[in-house]
Order: sequence, then structure tokens, then C-alpha cells
Amino acid sequence: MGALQGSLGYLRFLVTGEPASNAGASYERSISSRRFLPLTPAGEPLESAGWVPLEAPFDDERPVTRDLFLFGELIAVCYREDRYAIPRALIKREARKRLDKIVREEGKDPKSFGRAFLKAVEAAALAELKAKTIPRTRLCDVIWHTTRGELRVFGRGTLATERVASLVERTFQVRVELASYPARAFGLDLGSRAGGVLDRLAPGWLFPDAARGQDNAADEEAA
Amino acid sequence: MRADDKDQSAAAPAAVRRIAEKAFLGPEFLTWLYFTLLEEGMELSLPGAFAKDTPADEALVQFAIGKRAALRALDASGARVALSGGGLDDNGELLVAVRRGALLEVLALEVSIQSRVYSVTLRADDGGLVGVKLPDLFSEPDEAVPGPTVAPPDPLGASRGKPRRPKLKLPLEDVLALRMQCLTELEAVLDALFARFVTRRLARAWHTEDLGRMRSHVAQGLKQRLVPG
Repeated sequence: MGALQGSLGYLRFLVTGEPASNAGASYERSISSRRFLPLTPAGEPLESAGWVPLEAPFDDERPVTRDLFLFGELIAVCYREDRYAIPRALIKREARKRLDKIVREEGKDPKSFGRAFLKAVEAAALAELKAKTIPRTRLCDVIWHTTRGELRVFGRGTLATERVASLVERTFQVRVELASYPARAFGLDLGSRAGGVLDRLAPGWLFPDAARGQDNAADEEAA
Repeated sequence: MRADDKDQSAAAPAAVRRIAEKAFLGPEFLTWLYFTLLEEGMELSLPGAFAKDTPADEALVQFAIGKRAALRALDASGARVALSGGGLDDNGELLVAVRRGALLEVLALEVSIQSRVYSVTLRADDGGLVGVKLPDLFSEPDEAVPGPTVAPPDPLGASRGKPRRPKLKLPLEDVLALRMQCLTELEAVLDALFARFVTRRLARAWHTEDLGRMRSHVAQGLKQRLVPG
């Protein structure tokens, strides 16, 4: 699915706005400030997202310098999203086990546990579970062809159309719009008459009688 | 009507509504493309997809219907038919689905552009391309020259299982540039096809010619299957 190897699957976006005149320095700063920060078991966030170098998406120490994203008229970065997916019921069960152990070993009354204490036990259980789990990673390569005003996002669904698109807009200060067929139709140089027809265009039925349940009428006509 | 029956939700921006109202263009395009390719003998001249000084014979693009197609009914039922495997260029189920009011929402194609062969699956809903296979860009050139009696291989024919050639090791920048150049070439062909479709769709001839041709193709295809011999 990625841009660099194997078969490709991607969505096209139309970009409105010009690339920065000093793209190297300006985008290096912008990408660095939105660089992916890895999750840690002790940390509070359960998910993290940001840019990583296209050729080394798991090299967390490596800064995203211009030689890693600027290739002539192409700007190529990779969106990385990590998420811990730990079921709530499992966290509760682990917290319950810890509380039972405290009651058993320290002889404390469960009714004496305050809300803050219960939360702290749950957080400790979550940290332990996070340490045992590898976060789920999703990668999505993004290639911006600056001279053509087009962006290719090598992913699908809301990851591509919402999260990646939104991060692209914030990072590069441009507007992006999914290049669906209707969007492309409105972008064609059609002339005013045809443009007016397109504005009023409604879905056409190839076999209008199919909607009325007269399946054979047109066949008989054609035959 | 109660006061709270009134819809008070904020209207979507006009540009968003304009695009959403024309979502049918994707399925209509794929359906038109399928029948146009069949009627034109799987070969189309697309000068708009190439540089201006490209010779006419190099602007000819060959196509083959791939091994995947899906159709969805336009009506409220939204019934979906998914087809896979060979022979989709002459498929009775597909014709029946179209006859019952469905349009193609997924269509796999093989595209040969100046002897470079691509595989691609087009999606009507978001305009996305999936399963894109590019021509072999990174293998060492084959030095063996075929003899005069050997027929040239069909670019869209089945693979003959020839041995794999060693891969070239290229720097990332070159790999990226080559792959994106290929996608640009493929997209230029698809954009030229879409522009041709939109021009036809907006013309009066759509009703008098294009729709008639598609209807007749479906009717004849179904008739051949109904009448033995």
C-alpha cells in the first residue's frame, strides 16, 4: 500500500495554495513541530500521531530534515499513528486483582479506598498492560506533487480523508480537497454552457423502466 | 407541525453540497467506460493524455477488463453485486445487474500505455485507485534479442512465467520519482477518459447516442444468453 514498494492504493487530493518559497527551511520547522512522538507505557496518552521520515518510519530518534522529505518537486512524508488498544474490561480486571492483593496482604478495608486511590491503582494496572503490549501502528505515505497541485495519500477511509488531510493542511498551510469524480468534473475547463448543464445535471437511468419493474420492455424494443 | 419538527441543523457549505449532489458521476463514468471499451475494441486514442507532439500511434492506449467488478443499484435498496475472476468483459450477471438499474462502482482494468502495462482498480465513490501494479521498472534490461520468427508478446496477455531478472538497486529519490512518474502517466490516461465522459455526458448526444449504445449492448448481450444457438 505504501508509495515505495509493492502494489499501490491511494486517494488523490486537489491542493489549493502555493508551496512556500523557502520550502526546505519552512516545512522542516513545520514538520518537526508535528513529528510523531512515540508512546511510552508510563505516559498518559493512549494514542499518538504525526510525521515520520518516509524511508525510516520507525526510527524515532531521527529528525525529519529536508533531505528526507524534499525531492525536487515532490514533498514526501509519512503519517504515523500509534494506538494502544486495551479493552476497558481488561484494565478493570487487572485493577481489581491489585486491589484484592492489597486487601489480602495489607489487611485494608475495601470501603476505605477513596476515589483517587482507585484511579491510581487503575492507572498502575494500565501502565503495566501497556508495557506488555505493542501499540498498533498505522502508516500512510503522503506525496505532494507541488507543481501539479495534487496530493497522493496512500491510505483509505477516515485516516486518509480526515486525519491525514487535516494534518497536511496544518503543516503546509494549504487547502486539500478529495479529488472525487464530481470534484474533478467541476475542475474541468468546460465552458459556461456545459458548466451550467453540469450544475443542473441529475442522475440518469440507463433503463428507466427497471425502476418501474418493467424489465422486458426495452429488451423487446431493442430486439 | 410542531415547532421542533423544523430542521434547525446548519446547512452544509454550498461547495460541499454541489460535490455531494453529483456523486452519481463516479458510477456513471465507470459504467460508460466499461461499455465504451467493449464497443471500441479495447483500444482508444487519447491524445489529451500525452504531450502535444506525441505521434498518433503512441497515443493509442490498449485496455483489458480486469478480474474485479462491483455494481450497486441506484435505487433505495442499494443492492450490491460483486464479481471476480476472468471473463468480466462478457459477463451475463453484470449485464443483468445493469439491466436492473445498477451501475459499476468498482472496475479493474489492465492498461497498456506505449507498451508499459498497468493494473488498476478504479473506485467510483472516492475516485481512489487500488491494487495499482506498475510496469517492471527496476529489473535489469533483458539482453536476449528474440529471433525474427518469435511473435512479439501481447502486452496484455497472460504472463508466460519468464524467469525473474535481477533488480536494480536505486536510491530512494529515484525509486520515488520513477513510481510517481508512472502514476502520473496512468492518471493522465484516466483523466483524459473522464474528461471525455463528462463532455459526452453534458452533450445532447448522450441521450441520443451513448445511452442508446449502452442499452443496445445490454439487450443484445442478454438476448444472446436467452436464445440458444
